Amino acid sequence: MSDQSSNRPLAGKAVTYKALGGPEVIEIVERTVRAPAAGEVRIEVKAAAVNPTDILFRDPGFGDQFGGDTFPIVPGMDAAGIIESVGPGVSRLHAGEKVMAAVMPVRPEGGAQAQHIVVPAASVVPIPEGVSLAEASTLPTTGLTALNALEIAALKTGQILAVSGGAGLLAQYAIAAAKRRGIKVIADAKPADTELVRGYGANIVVERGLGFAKAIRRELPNGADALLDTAVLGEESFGAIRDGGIYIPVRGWGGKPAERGIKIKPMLVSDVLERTEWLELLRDMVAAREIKLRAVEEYLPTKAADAQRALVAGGHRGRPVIRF
Amino acid sequence: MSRTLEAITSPRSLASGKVDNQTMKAVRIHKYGGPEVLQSEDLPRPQVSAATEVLIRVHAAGVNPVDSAIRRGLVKEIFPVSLPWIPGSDVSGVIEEVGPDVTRFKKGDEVFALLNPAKGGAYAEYVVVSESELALKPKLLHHIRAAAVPVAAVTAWNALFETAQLQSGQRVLIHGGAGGVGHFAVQLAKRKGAHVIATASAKNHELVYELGADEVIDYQAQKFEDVARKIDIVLDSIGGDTQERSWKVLKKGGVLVSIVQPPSGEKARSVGARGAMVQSRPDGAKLAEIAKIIDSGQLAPVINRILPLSEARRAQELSQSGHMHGKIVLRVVNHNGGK
Repeated sequence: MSDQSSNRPLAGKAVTYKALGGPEVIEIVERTVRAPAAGEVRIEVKAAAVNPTDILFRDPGFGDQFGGDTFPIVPGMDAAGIIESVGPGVSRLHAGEKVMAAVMPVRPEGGAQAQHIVVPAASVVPIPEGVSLAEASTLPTTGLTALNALEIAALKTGQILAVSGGAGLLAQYAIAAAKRRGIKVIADAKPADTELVRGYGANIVVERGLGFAKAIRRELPNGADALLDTAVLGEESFGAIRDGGIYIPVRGWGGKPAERGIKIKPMLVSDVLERTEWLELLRDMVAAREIKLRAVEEYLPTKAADAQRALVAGGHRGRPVIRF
Repeated sequence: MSRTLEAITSPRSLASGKVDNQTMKAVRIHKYGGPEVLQSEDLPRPQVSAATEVLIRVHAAGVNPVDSAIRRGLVKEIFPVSLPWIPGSDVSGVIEEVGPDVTRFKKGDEVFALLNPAKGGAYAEYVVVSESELALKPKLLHHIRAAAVPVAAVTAWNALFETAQLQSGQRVLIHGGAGGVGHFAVQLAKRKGAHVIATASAKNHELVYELGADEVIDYQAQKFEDVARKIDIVLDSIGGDTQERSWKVLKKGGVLVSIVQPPSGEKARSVGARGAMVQSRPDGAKLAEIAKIIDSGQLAPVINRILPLSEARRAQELSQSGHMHGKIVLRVVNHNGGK
């Protein structure tokens, strides 16, 4: 029934945080990874994307929300690589297949930035054709977050989604997902990024920095039906939303309730890491060129701290990816 | 920004603006009715009142069809509840406090439990359970996945192994092989060495084959009784017409076990078979046994949806809508910086 090429634990490298703190808490360790159980696969990771969330896991302000005091933590929510073995009851995926995976770091097996990982098969699909493993690793978790935001917003065809931080990766995928559903998008961007964000599929791009709410209202006097706040603007962005509209924060919500009947709907990506049909949809969107995966910049595991610094610095150097 | 961070760091502070260790969030009903009767409320935390009880900090609560059936007032005789009532019989969490006579568990243990559905209580941040209802959570599952297990897996276990006495080599027909109970039943029956035939809608066939079914029938495209023959055991999670038509596929001496509707004794006699109704009962020892199988890598829950506790209405609507594969779980503790 299943293709089990290996039942043994496997040794390999992993990026870890030894404690909360700055980049100095990052360490490369050798660890063993157990064989996949029922419904799981073991992947030989070739590339693991670096996401802003990875950094929150060691942030003293956020970290205890994520992993508690159970250090070391293996960070990383996105992996791409080759299936090494499959557990009982897995026939959709096979050893040797090139796959991408959405990974939950808060679990005993840890996150994606390791040479070998064990994950639920439901979180794994073959990579899109025509893209590299490194490129594919930028898709799963951010893509699932985008689809989750669209599901939570529950907008109808023709309604308008506002997206703050329009040039970011999450914004890019959310704009593509909105477009597919016939939802109109208004987003902000620096002047230099306007064409880029239009290229993602945004119908209207407003200039960043003039005050997001004011800029949106100038285009939409009644406000947008929903706002996906990828730039983490918080309360100051409520003005962009129409009365009774929806605010979707990306890092939970600890602030006060919104005014004018605006509903705050926080989302949690760990809720959707096993939505296989969404991972397949994302793959199809790449194949259909609805999502154009970005260039990547590869870092060795020993340079994981540099990869995180590059992500924070931003710019146009390509999405940092750890290469195993 | 720092104020926001601080607030997020302490999820309990969100409702009231201050940390409060006497109250909890819970979802309750005050009257029978549709999903709209489910209300989010701030309630006093339950207290350990018997010496063999423990207080659990709930991390996740599984959603089961029985939760909705009780809410709608459809099963008052079988599950008499006293209103207001907190639904939920599947729970996974961490022990916060133990009664003086609790011997097998201690504060801090990660546990899962099957609660009496009429008592309920899992749709809440804290619940008090009896030691006998508890088992250590499987190590391979985090709380969300563990909370998907108790009711469905124990029901499947009781139906197959206790009521029907399934033996290796027998032919089993599992209706709804992708559903909550069905997906555990397929795995458990296969593991026992049965020939497993399951019904499922076309979109779930791949999943049911992966779980170990030898044959999967698209019940919308063909009549299962035209395909499945000489069955030793039927596991009925549908009832009605499906149960009625199931008698003719049974061998003489076969068993029809239903988890939704008591089979007719008359019908059973007329075909020389046996009929039985099965429900899950709280049973910590059995849960421990199931946890062992899960940790051996041979059994796993399939999760369809994870929703926050505040979305309990939507969770039950989805659960009632039918055609859902796997389990729906309510996330109660949030490990990822959300509300």
